[in-house]
Amino acid sequence: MTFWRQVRAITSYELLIERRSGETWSIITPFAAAALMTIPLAIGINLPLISSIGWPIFWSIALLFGMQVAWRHVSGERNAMRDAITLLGVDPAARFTGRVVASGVLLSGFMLVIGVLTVFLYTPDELNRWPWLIVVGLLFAAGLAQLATLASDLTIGLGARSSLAPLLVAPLALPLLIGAAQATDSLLRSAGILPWLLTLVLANLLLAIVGVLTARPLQEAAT
Amino acid sequence: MALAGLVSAIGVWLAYSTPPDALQRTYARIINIHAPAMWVAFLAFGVTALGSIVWRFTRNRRWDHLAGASAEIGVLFTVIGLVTGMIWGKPVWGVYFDWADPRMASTAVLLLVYVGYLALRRATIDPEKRASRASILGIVAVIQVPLVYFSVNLMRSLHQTQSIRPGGSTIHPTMLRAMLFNLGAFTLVYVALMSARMVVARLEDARDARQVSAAGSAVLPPNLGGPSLRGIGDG
Repeated sequence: MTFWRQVRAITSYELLIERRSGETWSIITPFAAAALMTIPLAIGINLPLISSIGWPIFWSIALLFGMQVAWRHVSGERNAMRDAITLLGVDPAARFTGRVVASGVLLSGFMLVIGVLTVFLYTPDELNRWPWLIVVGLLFAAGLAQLATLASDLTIGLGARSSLAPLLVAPLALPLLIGAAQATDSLLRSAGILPWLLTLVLANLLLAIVGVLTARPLQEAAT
Repeated sequence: MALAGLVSAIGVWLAYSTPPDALQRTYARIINIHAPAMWVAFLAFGVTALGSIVWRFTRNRRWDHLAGASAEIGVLFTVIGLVTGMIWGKPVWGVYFDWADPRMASTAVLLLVYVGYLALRRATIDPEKRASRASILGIVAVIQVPLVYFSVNLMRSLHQTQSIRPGGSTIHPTMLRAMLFNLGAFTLVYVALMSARMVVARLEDARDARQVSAAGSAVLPPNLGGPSLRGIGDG
């Protein structure tokens, strides 16, 4: 089986598990929606302030709850499943890539739903070149998917995995957050977003290289 | 350790005896602790990366101990650097933490990453797995150190750029002398702390090796400090 066929197989397997469990759409997305509502309630009746923080809040929620989406499989993952994939001779890099693609797809859908909710709940300022927001969102989702998958592999088999992995991801995801938030701010001001796009692209490239290079050592460390 | 303490005391005295700055007055003296603390933090994280790389090639546990010990001390000095920076920042910049300052924000992120590194080490019980996973994170995380250091050059910042450069220094000689002395003193403190921590790591290894398996390697008796279970159950 070629590398890319393995990637396709792993991606299909991950998305199938998600379709059966429904964790992203039935649990995480409603939880994120609830979080979106708590902030305006805490601020009170200050509509201009709520409107001005709409997009920054969107990116923060996308980061914090996006981590949950990327880890949706952590609680259900079993050593036997992982070992079976290893024994089948699946390339660790292909496994990493497949999981990243699956997480990226789910994250993109999640962010689309949260984005629509943000527009309705916060009425943020309109973006002049809103299609670029989709590009920024896809880069953000890809970077977060890679980071979360990497953190998941680093913490396999640990009892404190569900709390340790976010601690590892959150600080390293800040360049993604800054890039996305500043790109959005630039779109609002009709300024250029190229530096921030390059930041996101660079972060993604770096994470991809690290993820692929460390896939085999991390698999060996997990056994 | 005593020598490090003595040299540090001299460093503090030298820092206190420097003349006040024309603009920042006595607040400028804190730079003699802030800058050396951050220097040692960067050095410590570099040593962590080095230990991680060498471990990956040699699989000698001593290099893993070096990496872990250095990260602990690096986190300590990063906290000292951040706190002294905030104490200095309030009267000079008007805020404890300036979110617009890239160096301050990136240093805070650096601290969180290495706190995560230490949490990963603590959560992984098996020494080989701990060394393997921590080495990967230790090598990746060090990329931030040059980013933090050069952030003041790459982006607009309230933070001053490098005062000591290859072509010379922009600091008054009296102040420069105190800062360089403290640089050396803090480095000595780092070496002393590293030595002590490496000894502790070796003792921890020896203690773990003495534990007796009560029912195969899956179960180990709790270490309650009582009589040793060695020999019980042996044929």
